[in-house]
Amino acid sequence: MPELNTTSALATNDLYMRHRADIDAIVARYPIRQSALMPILWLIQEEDGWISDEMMKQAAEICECTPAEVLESVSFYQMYHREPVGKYVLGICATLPCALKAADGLYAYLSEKLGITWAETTQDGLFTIQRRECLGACSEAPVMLVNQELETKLTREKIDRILEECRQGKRKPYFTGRNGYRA
Amino acid sequence: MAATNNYEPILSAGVTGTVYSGRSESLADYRAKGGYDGLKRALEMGPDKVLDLIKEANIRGRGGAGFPAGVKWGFIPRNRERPHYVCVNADESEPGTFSNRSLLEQRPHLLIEGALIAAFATLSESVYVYIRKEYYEATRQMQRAIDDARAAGLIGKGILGSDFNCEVAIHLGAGAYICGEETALIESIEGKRGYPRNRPPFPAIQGLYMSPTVVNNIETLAIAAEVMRRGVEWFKGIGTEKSPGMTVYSISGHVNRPGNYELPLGVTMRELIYDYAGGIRDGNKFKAVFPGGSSVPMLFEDELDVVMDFDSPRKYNTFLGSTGIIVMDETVCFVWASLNLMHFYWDESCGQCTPCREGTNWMYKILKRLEAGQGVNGDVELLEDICGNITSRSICALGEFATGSLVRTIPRFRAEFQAHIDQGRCPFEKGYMRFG
Amino acid sequence: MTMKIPDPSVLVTVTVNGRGLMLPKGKNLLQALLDVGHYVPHYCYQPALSVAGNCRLCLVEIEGRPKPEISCNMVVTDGLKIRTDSELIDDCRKGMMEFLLMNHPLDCPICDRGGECMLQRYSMEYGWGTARTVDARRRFVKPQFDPLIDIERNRCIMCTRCVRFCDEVGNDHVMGVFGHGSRNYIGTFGNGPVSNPFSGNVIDLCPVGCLTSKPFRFEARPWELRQTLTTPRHANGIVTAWTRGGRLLRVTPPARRRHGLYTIDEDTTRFISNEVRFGSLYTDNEDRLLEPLARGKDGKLVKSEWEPALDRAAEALKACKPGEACFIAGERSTNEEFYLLGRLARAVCHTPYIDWRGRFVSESAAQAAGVALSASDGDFDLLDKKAYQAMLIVAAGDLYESAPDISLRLREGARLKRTRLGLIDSRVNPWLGDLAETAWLEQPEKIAATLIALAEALEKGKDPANAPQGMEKLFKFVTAEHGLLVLGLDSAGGAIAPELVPAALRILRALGVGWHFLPVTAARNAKGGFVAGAQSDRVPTGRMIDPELRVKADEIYGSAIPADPSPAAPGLLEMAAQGKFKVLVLHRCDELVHHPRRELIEKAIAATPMVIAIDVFPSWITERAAIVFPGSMFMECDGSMTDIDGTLQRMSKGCRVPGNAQEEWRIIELLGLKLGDTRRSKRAHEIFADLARAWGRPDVTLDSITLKQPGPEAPQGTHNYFGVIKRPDFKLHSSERPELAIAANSNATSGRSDLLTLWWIQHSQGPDHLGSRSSQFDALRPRPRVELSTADAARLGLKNNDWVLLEGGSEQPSQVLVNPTLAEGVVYGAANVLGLRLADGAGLPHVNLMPADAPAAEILEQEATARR
Repeated sequence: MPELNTTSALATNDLYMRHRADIDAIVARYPIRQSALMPILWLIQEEDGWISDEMMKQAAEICECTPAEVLESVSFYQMYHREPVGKYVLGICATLPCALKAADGLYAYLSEKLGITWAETTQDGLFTIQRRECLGACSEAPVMLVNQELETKLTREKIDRILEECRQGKRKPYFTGRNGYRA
Repeated sequence: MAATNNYEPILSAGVTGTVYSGRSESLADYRAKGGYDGLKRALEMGPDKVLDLIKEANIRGRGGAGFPAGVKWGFIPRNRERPHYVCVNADESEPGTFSNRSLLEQRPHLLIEGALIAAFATLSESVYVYIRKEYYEATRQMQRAIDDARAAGLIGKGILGSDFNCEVAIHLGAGAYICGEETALIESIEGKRGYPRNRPPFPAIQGLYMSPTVVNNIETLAIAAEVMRRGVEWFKGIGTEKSPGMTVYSISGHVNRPGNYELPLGVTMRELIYDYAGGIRDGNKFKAVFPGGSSVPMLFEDELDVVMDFDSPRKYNTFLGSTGIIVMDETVCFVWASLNLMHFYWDESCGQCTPCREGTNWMYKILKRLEAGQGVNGDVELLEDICGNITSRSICALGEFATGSLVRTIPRFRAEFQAHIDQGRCPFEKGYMRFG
Repeated sequence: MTMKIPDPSVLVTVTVNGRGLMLPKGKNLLQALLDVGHYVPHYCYQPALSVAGNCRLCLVEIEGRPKPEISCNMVVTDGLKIRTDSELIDDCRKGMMEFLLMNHPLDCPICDRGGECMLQRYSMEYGWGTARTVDARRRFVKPQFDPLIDIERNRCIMCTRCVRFCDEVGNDHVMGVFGHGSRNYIGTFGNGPVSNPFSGNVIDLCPVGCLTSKPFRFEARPWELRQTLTTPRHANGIVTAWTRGGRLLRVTPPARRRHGLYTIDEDTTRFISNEVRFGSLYTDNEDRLLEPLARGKDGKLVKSEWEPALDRAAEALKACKPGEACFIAGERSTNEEFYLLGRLARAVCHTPYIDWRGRFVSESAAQAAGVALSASDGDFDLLDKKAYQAMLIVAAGDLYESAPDISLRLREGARLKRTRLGLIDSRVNPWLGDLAETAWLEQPEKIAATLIALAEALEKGKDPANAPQGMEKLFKFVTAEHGLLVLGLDSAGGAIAPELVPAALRILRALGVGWHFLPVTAARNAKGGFVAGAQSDRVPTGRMIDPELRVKADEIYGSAIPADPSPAAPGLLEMAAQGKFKVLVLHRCDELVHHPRRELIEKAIAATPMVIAIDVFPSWITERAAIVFPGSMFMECDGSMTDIDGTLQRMSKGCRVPGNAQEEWRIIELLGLKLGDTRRSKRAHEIFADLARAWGRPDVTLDSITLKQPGPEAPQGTHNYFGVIKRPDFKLHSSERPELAIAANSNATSGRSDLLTLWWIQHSQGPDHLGSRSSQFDALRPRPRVELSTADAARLGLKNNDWVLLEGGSEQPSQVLVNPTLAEGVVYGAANVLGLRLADGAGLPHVNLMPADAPAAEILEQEATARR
């Protein structure tokens, strides 16, 4: 049976054509294509901030699996977003070691300040608050992930400063965005 | 305390603080300290002798179960009918555990060396390092270390001039506690939902891609690297007879000096809390402690002299676990703490099997009611019964983990649980909720 | 990974609850216990699917192990000691039931599964009886989902049977488990349909009321229904038909009896296709023939009574000299109808002209098919059989679309018995291909040559050194000791059969006696036509009509039969078109209604003065007939069918024939009576008895081939729900292995040109006059689509979803699908979906692909979708 030329079959796949080098490198790391799914989903999320149905279909094509299989993974892993998120995702650690050090109060403070609750995004599209389970920095409690940065031993002042830095654009946004797709 | 007084950290040598502060051991620094000599020695010995040596050292797995690494490696078939795999479990997600973070961020080469030795001994040519996505800095440092090692001929084809080939790649998680379970981790690398598998077959026979696979915690591999370098005798000279060696205890919660403490196995819980972590904050009274992450039953005041090795905590029906020690003082309400943890287990249960999926959900609902003062008589007994119905009936251990905060607590503090029902509210002040 | 198949003959002792049981070593423990009647409750375990181990209900206590273990993930080992009746196990089951019911809605009164629900049953047997939960139950929003399958996620217990079924049997991971933890739910991507031809089985597999049948929704309670074990008229296999008050309400795999009631068997391994499950519901269609019709003096077809219509037909037949009447029997006729038609033609009307092979496009194709059937000795239902080492499927991959039930049996046999699978085809269907060890993609013209090359090599010996260049893998595959060669007869209307059949017979000889042969066609009762005397060159034993055997044939009919040879149905139609016949009898010719050679059939009808049609639904053929007799539908007629592997199946009557319609065998007999024949049967049984005598097995009766309902009644206090399907050990096999060469079509292997070879099938879900009459089927109707190889698509500058016209084949535009596993130079499509028209039956048709505009309706629909 003639070898299936996967590369040419993906010629109409936007996602693949945009990140060809990256995706080829990811796929090469594994003996089966489906293993590349999680890294490719991260690629999508770093660009868009979330994973749309259309992106799931394209990822399925690249990984030679069905869209249902992609959705299975996307909906299972809690860090993949199925809805657009803010430019700054504030992941508050809410598990016991942090809760013993007033993580609940930290959330209450942030929530009041931003006017949103868990999993919501501010109207200006700047902030999303997420409940994260233990972030593995319990000695520094309470902690919070601001996009990729871990902020430790949080106080009201520290939070005010972080929010201000975000508003002034001094911090790297959660996603890079792509032209013509989403601001 | 005498035996451990002047112990110099080995695994966390040069590590400062829990969280990365700009310093990570470079390849040159690591090699200057004798780094990769263990690998060199392994390559000279050949895989079979390396396996024997690790078996002899009796390195018990630091991931939680304490299963000897040598025995685990020994299950791998000694042929290459199918490719073998080594998976490095760096999905440290157990609440209260943060020792792997600092090793990943600050001593990545130690872990790479350990992984390469494991691959060599198990006739494997591929290593996947499964790091949880939340560890952004750890991922960066690990990737940098892998790139440096590859450039130096330590990863790839013909490592150190031998005929040993090995590739190392990072696989990132995406926020699933369950992926720390070895078969769930395997499923996750295969690009699927992190569902633990039924055993048999065991990963050593049919693991990743249906091939023989060994999954080890990074601390275990780090120890393996040190053992290869310094020898079995050195290793057995540390710790206790049945639990040789050292481990990194992560201490958090209401203590004065929370942090990572690398010590020989065999210190007591009292020493850890009062001598190393500086005792309870604000001069408060001690109430309870999770000795090995939030998944194991708690220890109480009269049990603090337990020796923290693999076997001693069993007499209190609890375990060394992940050596994540969460200390709670007298201000803590057990219903509140259990509710917090039950949210965690309910949230992190993969939902595959009935008892864990429905049991955690039910217990969470009950605890929520209790804490809100809407409990009804019989709820406490119901909780106990549900714990019994989950324990040892689920596919993996997560179901049992969820009962960790309740099984020993309810019998001893039944009055505290019942008070929530009788008073129709939580009787605690909750000072620890005050923020700022 | 090769897995060892346990040898079921090695029995070891397992102590269950202190009692010794002999169980097959290495077998799944749960299945082994169920097989011997020791019931262990289970939800997620299903014999045909992989082990999930997620319901945790089949826990057993094992001596020497600290924890209870799930029996579905254990194998039988010698000396195993287990308990299933201890307090601990009781407690486990109670606990699990409580967990499962905790979030399950209390909506049994409005749930379609009520009465045959495993959750209800186990609650009664193992549950608590009372609820300890006061908390709110989990709720999901109900989505649109599938057009035929209803989903109620609140009732789901996450056993994942449906997900595994689609993945493993359907080979399409179209359903999945989404979400996390206790918010897990099952579904499809975007809540789309469960798109595979077997999707309906998830309804039976679902142990609770989460997935239910939309057509059956709120229609009836299972205990109000009558069950009839029967076989469909349009597909192979057995089913249970469920009726109430003479109305067919649903069709399922054979039901199972529990506590005196029949329920859906959720542990079945005999899955059925949607074509059978939903397609059989065409009985609901009110647009059917209920009165005899006769053409009046004004040329209009009007209602008539039976007597005058029969008289007119008889008169016309009486007026025929020998050889002036022609009978074409549809491929969906029963064995009895085939027998009576053969008798009517040969013994009463003294004409040799009778045949059933109307589906084939040319005489040589039909002849080749007849030869192939005479050599058939393989099984298609491999589940109950000893495994073959290897199965080589040649040019039959398309059965997935044309006869899904046959292909499902083949694939299930290969999958569950772990038979090695090899394919030689022009189009490799991923559904089969993913399971295949080796697949050889070849242009249709060259498949026969591939077989011959293999045969020549095999004739030299099985030494790997003899393998033809480049075919080493395939050669190694066919050197297996015993296997099954499956040969597709009717792709492209049998255009390549004249070369393929001799090649197959040759390789079969080279393969040796260990190999069996199974020619397959989507024609429902092809084998019946062959053995019951409706094939032009065969008497009702399936033997050739030759001078010596004539004596015996005379005995069977009790009258002399004509000595002249007769062509097959395509040849008969050609003769009719030339005006050779005075009367043409068309008996239930569904396959002619959507035949690509419509022009020929129109000519044949126009050139014959008297056309008599027996049918159920009006069609362009009945409209042109002079006399039309209304026949019976599924469930209205008794008789027998022969599956493609020779297995007799009983077709049972469960409903009255409505209006003035009659069972077909009665119509044929009435016609015979008018013509001076004396046979008059009270029941179809008598006709079958004649056939059985001809077959040399007078002991077999129509009732004795009725399958026993599986599952004996469970004695009180035990849990013996399992039984075996028993049938007489009797197969209608001929296994002649003839050395016959068939004249090849002159232009079958034409040189390559810009034209593409058209490789077509009749799609089982496309218009085919029976299944398509079911209104339930509208949602499953395939869209006009042609497949192209990657290389051809690139050459022609076409991509997926482009619209094209098949110049020289069809006037209807169709959409392109690029298929990387299609041979180059080939275009693949379904004739009945595309409305294919062929000018002649000579060889493979060639077509030119022309770009076309999307049809207006499609554009509107696209816009509507975009707005949504």
